[in-house]
Amino acid sequence: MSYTSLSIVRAHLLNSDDDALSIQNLPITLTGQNDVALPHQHLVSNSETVKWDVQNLPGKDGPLTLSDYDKVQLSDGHLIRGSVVVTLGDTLSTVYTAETDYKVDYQSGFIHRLLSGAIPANQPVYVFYNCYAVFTGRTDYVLDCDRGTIHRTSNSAIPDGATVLIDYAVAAGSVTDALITQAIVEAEDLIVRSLATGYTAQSADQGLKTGATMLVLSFVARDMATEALARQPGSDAGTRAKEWQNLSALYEARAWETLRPYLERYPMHSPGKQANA
Amino acid sequence: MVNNTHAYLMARTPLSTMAFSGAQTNQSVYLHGPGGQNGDGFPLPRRGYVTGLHVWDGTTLRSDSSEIAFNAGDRISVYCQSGGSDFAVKLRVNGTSSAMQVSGVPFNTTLYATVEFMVVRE
Repeated sequence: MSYTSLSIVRAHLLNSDDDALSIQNLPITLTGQNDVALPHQHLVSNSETVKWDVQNLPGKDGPLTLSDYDKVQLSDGHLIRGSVVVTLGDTLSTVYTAETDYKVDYQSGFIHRLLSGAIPANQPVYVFYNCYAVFTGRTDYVLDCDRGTIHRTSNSAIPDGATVLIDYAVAAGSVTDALITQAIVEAEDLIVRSLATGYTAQSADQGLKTGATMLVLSFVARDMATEALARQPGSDAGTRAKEWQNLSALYEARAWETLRPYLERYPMHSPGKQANA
Repeated sequence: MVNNTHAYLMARTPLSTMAFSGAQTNQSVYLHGPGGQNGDGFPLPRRGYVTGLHVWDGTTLRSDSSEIAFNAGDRISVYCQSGGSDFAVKLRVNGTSSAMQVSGVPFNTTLYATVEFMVVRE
């Protein structure tokens, strides 16, 4: 019998996973079909956009009628931030202001007027913008999300040696079942060897279960810190590792505090700092 | 941060001016344009917009502004149209008066008119 379980530990971890990291417009040069290492590994599958900005002239949509708060789809998505101009016409006698008069969803290419802005409802406007040309995964490039590498395909539309931009998301801390299972084994071994008289591995006291879960979480967080540091330089690995370390220390302190009534007076491990004799 | 699209749009519609002038009596007449001839217009090479008309009679500057669209090959001119007691000075496109004009311009003065326009480079 175990004091805790995989599902219990995972339920706790759902609340402590750090957020995914979003990387945008990272320039990479793709030569031949050689792998290029990205600054991160463990990327979120299908989160990437490989693109470039080689458009000489801006696109033009219009006249578009912006009514109320309705979103209007532009001809293109993947707009370049800061490249949108909304005007009444070629003379630019009236140029509206982003975030004040209208908002743009740069990724999807939607635009809508702001009710508090200067664009009258149902006013036809012209929208000029620049957008990225987007390449196709597996046709133009191959991305290995786990390893964080990318390379051109043999018949890629990306010219050999071209520099492109890539967006992607780095997976939040992902804890494997194997890691949790191993942490359970280690934590319960540690607890069982320190149990006070009257308690055994079969004891069902809630305090033992709670303490065991916290100790397992501590071990998992410690291992996640190690994993974060193993990521390649240039990432936020140091910051993430520190967060996991802090979480590990917090769980461990709570674990031993919870387990105290069930352990021998001098347990084998204690979170408290001890002065040298 | 400079919006490159806006900068491009500004650059592709450069402002230009064309000057017209003439000593007037009280008769309706086209002002003389660049080169000294008067008539119903100078052809423009690209589509664009007339955005301003400014008239100086030696004493008073009168101006009007709006957006009068023209196509490549259209001709612009400035026409002094007598109203009986003074002139209305009008921008004409292909010999037809547009809505761009100044009024109350006195007879018997020498007029200097500047037409402001932009052509669209596409």
